Parts: sequence; structure tokens; C-alpha cells
Amino acid sequence: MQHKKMLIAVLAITLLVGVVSAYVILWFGQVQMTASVKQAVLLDGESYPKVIEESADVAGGMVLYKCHWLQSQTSVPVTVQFETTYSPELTDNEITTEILEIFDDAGLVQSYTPPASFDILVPEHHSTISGAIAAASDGQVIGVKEGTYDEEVTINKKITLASRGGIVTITKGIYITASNVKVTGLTINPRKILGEMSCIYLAPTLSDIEISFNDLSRGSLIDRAVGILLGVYGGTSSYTNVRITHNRIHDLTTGIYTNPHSGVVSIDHNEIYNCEAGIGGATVATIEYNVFYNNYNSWSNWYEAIGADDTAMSLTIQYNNFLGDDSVAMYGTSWIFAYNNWWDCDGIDIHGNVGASFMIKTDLTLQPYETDWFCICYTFAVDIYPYTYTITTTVKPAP
Amino acid sequence: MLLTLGLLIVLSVFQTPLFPRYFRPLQGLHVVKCLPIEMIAGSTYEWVVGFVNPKSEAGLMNVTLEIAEEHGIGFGEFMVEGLLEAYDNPQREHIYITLTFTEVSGGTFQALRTSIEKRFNCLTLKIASVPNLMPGKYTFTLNITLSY
Repeated sequence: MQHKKMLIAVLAITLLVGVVSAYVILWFGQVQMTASVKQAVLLDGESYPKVIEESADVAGGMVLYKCHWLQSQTSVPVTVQFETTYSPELTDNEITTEILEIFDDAGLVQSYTPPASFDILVPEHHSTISGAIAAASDGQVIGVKEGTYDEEVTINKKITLASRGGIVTITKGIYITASNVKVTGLTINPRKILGEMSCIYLAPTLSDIEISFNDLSRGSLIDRAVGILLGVYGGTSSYTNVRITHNRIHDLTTGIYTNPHSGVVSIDHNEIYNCEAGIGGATVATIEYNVFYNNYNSWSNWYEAIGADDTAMSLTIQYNNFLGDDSVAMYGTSWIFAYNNWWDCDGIDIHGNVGASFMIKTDLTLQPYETDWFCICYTFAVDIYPYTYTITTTVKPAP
Repeated sequence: MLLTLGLLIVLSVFQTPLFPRYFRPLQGLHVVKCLPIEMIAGSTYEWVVGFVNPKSEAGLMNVTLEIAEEHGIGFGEFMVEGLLEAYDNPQREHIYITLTFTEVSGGTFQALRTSIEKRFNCLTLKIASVPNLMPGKYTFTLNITLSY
């Protein structure tokens, strides 16, 4: 009897456990997918492994420059790092490796966008640009239609002279005698202004001038000519808030010539090439983020991006790309300085008393989808054993 | 003999989980927005999954995301954020609950004991990876468990 009771008790407990268990029901679901993950940064357009391997016949004191580019494929900033190994091994005393900055944001960078609205249209309102200027009031914007305008233009009012898009060519130069003037988006060839053949001539005392997105060249002329001439040699000139930016200046004797003046002129983001001197008589100016190439001075027999003489003062020359053999030259006995520029893979090009340097790349962060050029500079010690060394540089996102 | 029988029953009960689990398929589970087939390391992608609360009462939801790759995944290579959008029909009053995921082992993320009350649920996962993630083929497995 007792055994039966015990059996019933055990069965009851088991049943209870089963009943309780029956209430512990879970609802469960699963989804799955597979994705191929690609690397965040490409080196020279190539994918993983991101390794640069180069062989070089090395002699003592040799400097090697190797240019590469990184491209971010991701939507977040990526910081990269470099690791270099050598075969046969080299010690820190035998090799120095530096990452040098190439200024991707130098040169024209942006393209021309016409002003949103115009007050006077050429040729609709006036058949000539000079006629439009004569009719304009201070502060008005003159929009010029695509075409060639064979006229000598003088701007003597506070106006903006702009292309409405397309190529607007002024064949006989622009003489600016008024302050608060903007000249933008035009193709300008030179004429003789105050005895100087120039595309744009800035009268000696001006303020608030912007010369931007223009194409300045000699055109069909064979005379010596200057792209932009500031001031009068031997005279007194003063410039306040004068900016020369995003212009293409080429095939001239001198791209920009700055006579001695007070007030700093800003010359930035221009592309200056095929001149005898890119910027001549350089003085009292901030020259940055420009690209210079193939500016060959037959008189001095060297490539001259920027030339200065003893009138030079308050010159800041930085963040420019001097490509090929384009140099900074000092003709006098005083010193000028051109620190933190990119001097191309042939090394620093200077003539005369010029202090110059590359810029060491410190910002190793790529912005989303940014492409960034850089240079790896290998400097071998003078007493290194001459040999064919293999240099392996790995570039990868920092952890 | 009876004692032996009792012992066997007791042992069998205690050798299995006290409350064994019975799984039923989660109703209406479907992918609203897929992860891209090709991802870029360092970027963030969304994976959206919808499901129906099978009972008209409040329950608890556990979500586990397992990311696998043949070479294994270390801690901190992925970051996961979750947002649960829940609503009833016809009221259409949407509520939003942020799910905090904890990486319990390399590539395994859990958000436990989230209260769900509404009938219709839409779970958005934001999956980000570090820029130096090893390229390769990755499998993403999302498990959702509801209990009451």
C-alpha cells in the first residue's frame, strides 16, 4: 500500500515537472547572409596586400623619392600607417625614411561657376564690354557671353566682370584702376598698358581686388608679355586685400610680376606653366597652393617658378608643388625662404640664397573617399655599403 | 524495486534541464533590408529585419548577432547598434527602443531582455567595422528569441 502511494507521489511530481516545462516555450527565428568585405584603403589603386616593394642600387648618401597615392573607399576617416623593412637589413643609422606631403589641393582644384545673376549683359545690353562698364554703376555685375571681344578694357568702377560660361576671350588686356573689382572666368591676352605688355595690369594703389578663374596667356602675340602686373617699377604702390586665385597662367615671359609695394598680395591655387619665370620680382606676397611647371628662364638657363631680387621682403612661399626642375631663385644677396613645399622627385630646386624644405607629412588621416598623393623619401647614409637593396613598405590603416 | 524505479525517474528528471525549452518558429520573420553583398571595411551598413510578436502580451526578446570569418574575428573589429521600431495595428503608434549590444566574444554580440509589447516589430542593426578589418568573406547570423 505504502509502495503504491510512493509510486503515485513520484508520478505526480514527474507530471508536475512536465506541466511546468510545457509552459517554457520560446519563439525563435534566424536570418543569415554572407558579405564580401573589401579593404578600406587602396594603394596606387591596388588592393590587399598593400605592399610597395622596390629594388634600388644604392650608393652612399643617395636619396630616393617614390610617389604613391592612397584612396579611401570608406565613409569614415581612416588613419594609415607605414612600415618599412629592408633586405639586407639596415639600421636606423643607415637609412632614414620620411613621408613627404604632396599638395593635392594645390592648383586650380575647383572649376569656374558663373555668378548667380547679372545686372548687365554683353552683348545683349551693350555690344562691347567697354560700353557695359561705361553704363555700369558701382557694385553691378557684368556678364559676358561666350565669344571673342577684340577691345582694350579698362575697369574704372567697383564692378564684377564675369563670364556667363563658355570661353570669353578679351584679346587686348584689362587695366584695373578702381578698387572693389572682380575679374573672373575670362580668357585674357595682353596689350601694352602704360608701356608694359600685360594681360591684366593693376594700377599702383588698389584694394579689394579678386582675379580668379581666368586663363592668361600671350595668345597669338610673340612679344614679351606679363600675365598679371602689379604696380610700377620704382614707383610707390599699395595693395590691400588683393587676391589672385585659381587662374591658369601660361606661355608668357612672366606669369605674375610684383613690383615693390605695401600690403600683402595673396597668390594661391594658380597653375603657372610654360613661362620664363612663373612669378617675377616676387615681393610682399603670400604664395601658396600653386602648381608650377616647365617655367624655363633662357637668360639664367634654369627653370624658374619664382624669382626674387634684393627688393624681396615679406615673402611667404609654402604648400606649393614645384614640379620638374622648377626652382625658387634669389638674384640678390639677401635671403628668401620657401619652406614646406613639394619639390618633386628630383629634390629641392633652388638658386642663390634660398632656404627651402619639403614638408613632412604629419596628417596621415584620409577623409571619406579622399585620394591623397604622398612621397616616401629614403635617405641612405654616406657610409652605407653599396648594394642592391629591396625596400618593402607596407601601408595599412592604423589599428 | 519501487525505490529503484523512483530513483531512475528522479535521475532522469535532474539529468535533463529542469525546464526544457520548446522552440516555435518566430512569426513573420523576414529581411526588410539586406546587408550589401560587398562591404568596405570601416563603413557602416544597415540590416533591417521584421517580425511579429506571436502573443498579445508583453514578452522579452534576446537578440544575438554572430559574425564569422574563416580566420576568426577578434574583439572590437565590429560595432553594432540596434533600434527596435514597434507598433500595433490599427493604432499605428510607433515606439522606438534602442538596443545596446555587448560583444560577448569576438564577433558575437548580444542584446538581452528587451521588453516587447507591440504586435509588429522592425529591428534595424547598424553594423560598422574597423577600417583595418581583414578583407574576406564574412557570415552574419542574427538570432531572435522571444519568451513570455
